[in-house]
Amino acid sequence: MLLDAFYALLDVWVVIAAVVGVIAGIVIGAIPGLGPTMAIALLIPVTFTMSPIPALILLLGVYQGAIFGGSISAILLNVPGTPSSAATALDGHAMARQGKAGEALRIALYASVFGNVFSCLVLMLLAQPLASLALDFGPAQMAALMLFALAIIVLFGGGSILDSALMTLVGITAGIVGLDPIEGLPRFTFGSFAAEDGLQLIPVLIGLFAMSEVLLQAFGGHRQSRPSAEVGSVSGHVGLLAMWRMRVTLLISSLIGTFVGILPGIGSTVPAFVSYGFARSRSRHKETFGQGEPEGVAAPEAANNAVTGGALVPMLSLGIPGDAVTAVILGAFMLQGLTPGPFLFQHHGVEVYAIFEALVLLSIPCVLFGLMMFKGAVHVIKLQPRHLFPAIAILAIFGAFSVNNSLFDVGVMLGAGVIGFLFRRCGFPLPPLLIGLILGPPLEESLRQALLTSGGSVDIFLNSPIALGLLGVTALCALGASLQRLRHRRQGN
Amino acid sequence: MKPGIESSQENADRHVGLQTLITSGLLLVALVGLFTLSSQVTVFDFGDSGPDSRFFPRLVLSLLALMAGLRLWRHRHAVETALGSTRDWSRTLFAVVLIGVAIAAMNLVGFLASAAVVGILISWLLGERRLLLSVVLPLVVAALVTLSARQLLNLPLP
Repeated sequence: MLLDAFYALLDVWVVIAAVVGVIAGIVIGAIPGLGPTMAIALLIPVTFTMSPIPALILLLGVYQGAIFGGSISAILLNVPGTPSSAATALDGHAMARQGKAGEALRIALYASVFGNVFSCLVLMLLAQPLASLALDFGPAQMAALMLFALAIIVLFGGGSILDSALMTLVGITAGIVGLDPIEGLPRFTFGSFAAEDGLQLIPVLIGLFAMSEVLLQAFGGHRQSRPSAEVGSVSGHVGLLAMWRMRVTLLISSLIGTFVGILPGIGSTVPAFVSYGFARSRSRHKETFGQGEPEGVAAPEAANNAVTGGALVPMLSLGIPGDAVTAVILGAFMLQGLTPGPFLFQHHGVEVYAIFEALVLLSIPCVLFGLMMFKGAVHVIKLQPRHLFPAIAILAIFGAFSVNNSLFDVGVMLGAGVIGFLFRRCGFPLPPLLIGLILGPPLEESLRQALLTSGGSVDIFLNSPIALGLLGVTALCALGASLQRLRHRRQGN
Repeated sequence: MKPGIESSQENADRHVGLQTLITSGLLLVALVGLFTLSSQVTVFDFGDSGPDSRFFPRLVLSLLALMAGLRLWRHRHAVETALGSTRDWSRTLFAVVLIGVAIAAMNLVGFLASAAVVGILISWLLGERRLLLSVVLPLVVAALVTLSARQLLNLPLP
C-alpha cells in the first residue's frame, strides 16, 4: 500500500500541485488578514476538475505553507499573518528589530518543518488504527463520539463556553434545513426546491470566512489601511548546530501541538502560546524571552505547525474536524468523493497513504521556497486590504457559484457572509459554528438510528461500554472545565 | 476631553450592545422555529416508536432558545461592544445590498459584469480612488476569473 501510494505521487501534476500549494500558502499566510481557512475555501472550486490526489495535495500544501507564512509578517511587521503566529511575533519581531530578521525567519522555517514532519509521522501511526477501531462503532457509539467532539469544542475551544455553545447550536440548527436524513422529508425549506439540498458546506464556509472578512473591511472603511513599516535585511544564516541546541524545545513543542491538534476545536493558537510558555519556563535565560530569544521563535512555530498533522487524525479516521481549517479540508475531501471516516482507509487506502506521504514530502518545497521567498515576502506583506479584498469578493462569488452552478448557493454565501460578519463583530467564535454545521447532520442520523433500533429507549447508550465510556468522559470534561473556570474566577477575585 | 474619546467612552459604557441584539435575534429565530415546527416539518405516522422528523429540530431549537436566554440573563449587566457609527453600518449595508443586486442580476448581465461591479464597489468602499487600482484591477481580476472558469475549468458561468 505504502509503495503504491508513493508511485501515485510520481506524477508531474502532483509535483506541480505541491509546489503551487506551498508557494500560494506562504504568500497568503504572509498577508495579514488572509488565513489558511479563507485561502483553502476560495481554492476548493479550482480543484473540482482535478483528480483527488493532486487536488488534496494542493490544498494541504496551502495549509502547511500558510501556517509558516503567518510567521513572516509576525516577525517582520509584528502583525501576525495568522492568529497562531501571534506568539512568534513576541521574540521574532524583537529579533528583527535587532537586525536578526533573517535568522528569526530561518529558525521559524526550520521549526515549522520539524513540527510538521513530527505530526505527520504521528498521523501515519495513529489514523489507521483509530479508523479500524471506529469500524466497530454502531449508531449509538457514533452519536456518543460526536457529542464528545462537540463538547470538547465548546468546553476547551477557548473564550466563553456559553458563546461557543451558542455558536455550535447555530451551526447544528443550520444543518437541519433541507431533507430529513432518515425519512427524506423537507424541513424548514419554506417551499423552496433549491433549499431541499440543505445549506451546502462550501458556499457557507466561503461566506463565513471570506465574505464576512470583506464586509468587516467595508465596515472599517478607510481605517483598515496597514502602516507601511520599513523592513530591514532578511539575509542571515542558521546552522544545523543552532537547531540541534533547540532539539528538546522543538520536540516538546511538536508533542504539544500534535496532541492539541488531535483534540477537536482548539486550533493552533493555544498550543503556540502553551509551547512558548513551556519553553520559557524551562529555559535558563527566562529574562531573554520577549527580547529576541531564538527558542521563543522555534517553540510556537514547531507547535502551530504540528497542529496540521494532529488535526488530520480525527478528521481522516473519524470524520471529525479538529479545527476550522480541517473542517474546510473535510469539505474538499467530500467533494472529491473521499468521505472522511472509518471507511476511508478501506475504500481509498492508496489515496490516503499518498496524502500522508505527500504531507511529509511537502516539507522539501516548504524549505526550498520558504528560503527563496523571504525577499519577495517583504513586498507581499505590504499589500493593502483595499487592493486585496475586491479580488476576494470576486473569488467568493465565483467559488460559491461553481459548486453546483447555482445562484441560490451564491445567495447562501452572501447570507452566511452577513451572519459571519455580525458574529465576528460581536466576538462570537466561528469555528464552533462550522463544526456544528458539519457534525449536526451525522449526529442526528446516528442518534435517531440508535433510538429507532432501541424503540425509543436510551438504554442503547447505557448498555454499550464504548458509548457509556464516551459519555462518561464527556461528563468528566464538563466537570473539569467547570472546576477550572471556578478556580480562575477565585484567583481573579 | 477630545470629542472622539468622549464618544468612544460613551459607546463602551452601553449595557445593551451588539451582543445583546444578536443574541435576542437568535432567541427569536429559535422561538419562531419552534412555533413553526409543525407547519415546516411534515410527519407521516407509521406507528414507529422511535423519534420522528421533528425530534432533532425540536431538541436543538429548544437548546438554542435556552442558551440564548441564558446568555442574555448572564450578560445583562456586562459592558458590550458599541453598535458603531451609522456611517459604518450604512456603508456595510450598501455593500450587502449591491452585492445582492449584482448576484440577482447575474443571469441578466453575466458573471463578468456582476463580478467586476462588485470588485469596483468594494475597492471604492475601502477607500481606493486611483482609477488603475479601483476600476482596472477589479476588471482584470473578474476577466481572469471568468476566462479561467470557462476555458480551464469548463464551468458554465452566466
